[in-house]
Amino acid sequence: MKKVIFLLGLAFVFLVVSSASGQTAKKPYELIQWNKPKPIGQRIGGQQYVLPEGWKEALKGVAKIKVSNFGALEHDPATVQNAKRFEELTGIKVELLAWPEPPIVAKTVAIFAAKSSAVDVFCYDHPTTYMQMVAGGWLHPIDAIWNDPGVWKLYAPPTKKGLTAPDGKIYGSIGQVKTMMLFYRPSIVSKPPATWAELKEVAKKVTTDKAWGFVFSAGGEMDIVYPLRDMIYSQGGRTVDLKRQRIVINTPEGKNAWKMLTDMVLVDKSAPTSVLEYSWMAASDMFAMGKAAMVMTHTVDANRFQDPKKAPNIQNDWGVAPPPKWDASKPDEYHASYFDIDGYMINRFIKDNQKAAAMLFLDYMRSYEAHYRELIVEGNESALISVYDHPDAKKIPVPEGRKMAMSRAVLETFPPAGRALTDIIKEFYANAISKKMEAMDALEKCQQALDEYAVPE
Amino acid sequence: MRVPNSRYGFFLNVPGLLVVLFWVIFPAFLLFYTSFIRYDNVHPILFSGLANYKQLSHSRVFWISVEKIAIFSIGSTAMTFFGGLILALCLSGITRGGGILRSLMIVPWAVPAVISGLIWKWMFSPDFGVVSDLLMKVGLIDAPLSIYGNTTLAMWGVIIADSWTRIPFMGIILLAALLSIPAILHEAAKVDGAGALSRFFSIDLPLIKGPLLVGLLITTIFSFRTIDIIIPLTAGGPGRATYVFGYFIWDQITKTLNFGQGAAAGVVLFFITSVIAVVFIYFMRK
Repeated sequence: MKKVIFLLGLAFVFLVVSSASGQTAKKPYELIQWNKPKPIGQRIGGQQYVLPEGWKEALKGVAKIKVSNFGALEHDPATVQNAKRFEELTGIKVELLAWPEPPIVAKTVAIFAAKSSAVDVFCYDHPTTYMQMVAGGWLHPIDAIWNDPGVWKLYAPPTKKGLTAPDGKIYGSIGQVKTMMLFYRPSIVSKPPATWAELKEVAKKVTTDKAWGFVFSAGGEMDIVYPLRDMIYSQGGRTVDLKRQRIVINTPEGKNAWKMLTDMVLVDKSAPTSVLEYSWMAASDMFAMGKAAMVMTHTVDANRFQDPKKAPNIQNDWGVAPPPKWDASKPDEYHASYFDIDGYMINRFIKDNQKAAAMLFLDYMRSYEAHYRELIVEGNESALISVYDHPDAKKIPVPEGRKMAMSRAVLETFPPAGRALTDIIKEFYANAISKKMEAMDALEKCQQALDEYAVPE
Repeated sequence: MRVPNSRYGFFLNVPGLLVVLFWVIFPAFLLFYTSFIRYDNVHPILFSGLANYKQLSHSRVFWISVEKIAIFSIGSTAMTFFGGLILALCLSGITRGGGILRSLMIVPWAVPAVISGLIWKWMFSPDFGVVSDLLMKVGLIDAPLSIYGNTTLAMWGVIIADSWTRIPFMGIILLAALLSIPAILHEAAKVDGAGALSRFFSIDLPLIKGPLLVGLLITTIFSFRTIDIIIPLTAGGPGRATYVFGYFIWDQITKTLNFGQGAAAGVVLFFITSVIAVVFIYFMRK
């Protein structure tokens, strides 16, 4: 009997001790003191990145992290340089996985759904994709690395909104950002249009057999949404009803935008019907080949247009202007395009010390030092606005215009199944252009299909 | 100790059975199982009976994909069959340099579907494509043709691009069958005054029926799962004009993250292809 009591007592003590130690033992990533030696904003916002205190202890046993990357590494020199710099700073190898773009979301989803630890850090190209991964419960929360009010002041205003999940937590970080501006050919368009109303008229006037007045993309994934959103934002409207978690495009602003986008092709014939097969890259190619007088495209395309090998027909004959506002009556902050985040998220299913290493990697990749390379070396856009004030930023095309475009851009995250919802918009726009439906009828039917497809309220 | 033949035979089959078990039966079981659960990345996962199938039957996009896959499969299989047959008939008559031509014939088959998609996209491009340019030069069209931007023509463009990669496979099967027909049969028919067309229908076609049906079966089933060539060509557009069944499944998994409904669509695809296979096998045995 005594033995039994003794053993039960021993078991009780063991349970108490183990549960107590479980409560106090910190996870490796909790050992990192992100606000030391300086508050996060200062630590990552200076020209030289400063490692947080406690990182060495937290990263014990980690030799390598695996990070997925959009496409081939030769197109991402800044990412490669940043990964090397991180290796120099920490001694932890970064294996960048160059995944081709079309199946990258499929690969990411497959790994998450299998609860695999094969990849530590995943890249994402859009807040909508990021939010879908959040909804899956597949991401490791990283509020700790954002726990300083000063850190948000470093970035363009929409950044916080784009990274904050519906549960109020933050699961992602930022690598680079995207927005659009109006590119034009000064030899054809002497003064860039400041409003969409002007742009429509100019495009009609300058269209010839050799060049279209205006091109945009309506063929690739999410593509028609870009010009549609830009036109809606230019009127102060939005495409997402946040309360109902619905995409709503049959608003007065949406109707104006839809009509203009269909009229340009069907009535004015200033844009080709082949917009239905253009991805954003193809629309940009049309401008680079000298086959379009104007295009709204990503600011980063300025690098391509400046390159004589990639755009020989428009050398010294291209200019860039802010995204048009709808008409002269609208305020100047409506010179706004969309704001997209290309960022990183951490796999929930990896070991805790790997999570610590992944968090440190994300901490570095959002720093001024890393964003400097994104902007100067690769010509990508930076959400860290002060990078545009660096003297080297003068080397990139139109730095001031890009900085302004970044600071006015609007971020909207689509509700769950957002990518599928944008396909519906693409489908009905094509139906309107193919004259299967009358343009405004197509818009109403599109809205109906969007409502039917959405997750029930 | 002497092992009985039956047991020895069973042991020899074990590796094959394991492969079938882990690579075919287990994934198929998982597919069926997933199709009966609500697994949509929004709600908690739970058993939902036939709910996924019910949702499928009410899905507008699903029925579009069924219609498009029927058109695509018939078009692609027919074009592959006729293209392969013409190629095989031409090559079967060539004796000098036939080996080189047969090797060249295989080349499109070796091209990955995604690359093939890009090649055809560029060739059919209205802005810098060779096809529109040629058609304009010979005066057949006045303005460049946007094949992949046209809701009516896009499916034809996709079928052409897909068939181009499959014709060599069908051609090789039919060529091998044609070459195995004893020459004496054709010679005897010629003596009896049979023309080329009559010899083809009376001698060639009946004797290559088996390989032909195998080729058709494989091509049809492959066409049902096609998606790799469509992604770079049209991404399912314009206006879902090329939104085939495989694309619907792809979207359920990668865009909507509705694994339950994706699995249900996969099961439907499994049954459709099974029925097609049964029909073909019936005709093969007949």
